[in-house]
Amino acid sequence: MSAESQTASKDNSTKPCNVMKVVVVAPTKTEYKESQVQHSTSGEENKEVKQTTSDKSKIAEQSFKDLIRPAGHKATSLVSTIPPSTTHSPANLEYRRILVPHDGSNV
Amino acid sequence: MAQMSDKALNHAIYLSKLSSAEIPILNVLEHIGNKESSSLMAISSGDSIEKAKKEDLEIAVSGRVKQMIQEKLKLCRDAGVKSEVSYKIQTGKPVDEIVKISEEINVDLIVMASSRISSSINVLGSTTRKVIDHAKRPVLVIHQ
Repeated sequence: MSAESQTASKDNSTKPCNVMKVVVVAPTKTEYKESQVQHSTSGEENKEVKQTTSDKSKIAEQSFKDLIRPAGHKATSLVSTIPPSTTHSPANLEYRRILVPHDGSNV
Repeated sequence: MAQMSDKALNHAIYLSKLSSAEIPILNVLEHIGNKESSSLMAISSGDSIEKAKKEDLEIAVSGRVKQMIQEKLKLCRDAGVKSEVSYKIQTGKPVDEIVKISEEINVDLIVMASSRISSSINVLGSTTRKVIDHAKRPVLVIHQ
């Protein structure tokens, strides 16, 4: 090797490289699976979030219904909640004997 | 006056059909001889008066009296009353007898006819008014 070539090689090592190398790294199978899992878990999280929001909306709806029920269904709820009475109340009056004092003026 | 009593009887018939109540019809005659109180009772069962029980009888049951009893019993039967209908003739003071018998036979309601009970003249002598005052049972007054 000549002296010139040696200096040239030294120059090459110190010189900034102008050529850009692009390295494509293919993900390994495990990495891919993991990413899929991560993606799927994020989907489940989304579902959970959706469920919680739907639950919240249901609860809110129910509470709203509870609020308006006493006013809206007062009459019907009263009728439906009265248990059949077994006691002898005025509503269960029963006539067993009716006395009719009759005028005997036509006798 | 008898028509008014029939009005009361019609109301009693209606109530009896609703509740299957017995209808004892009471006719009080004020003055019969010296006896203070006496009675005759007829019970409806079938087309004719089945029996006339003599307790302390002062009245001869014949002619118009018998006919009237039969008419009232027939009126009840024709109206569809299926429960017992009885006709009792009692002597004595009408108010006292009505109140006494209502307690004795434990009636649930007294149905009486009355002319204008609010009239000041009628109030003084109104049997119905006095029964309302003295009876412990509910009284249904049928106005003319």
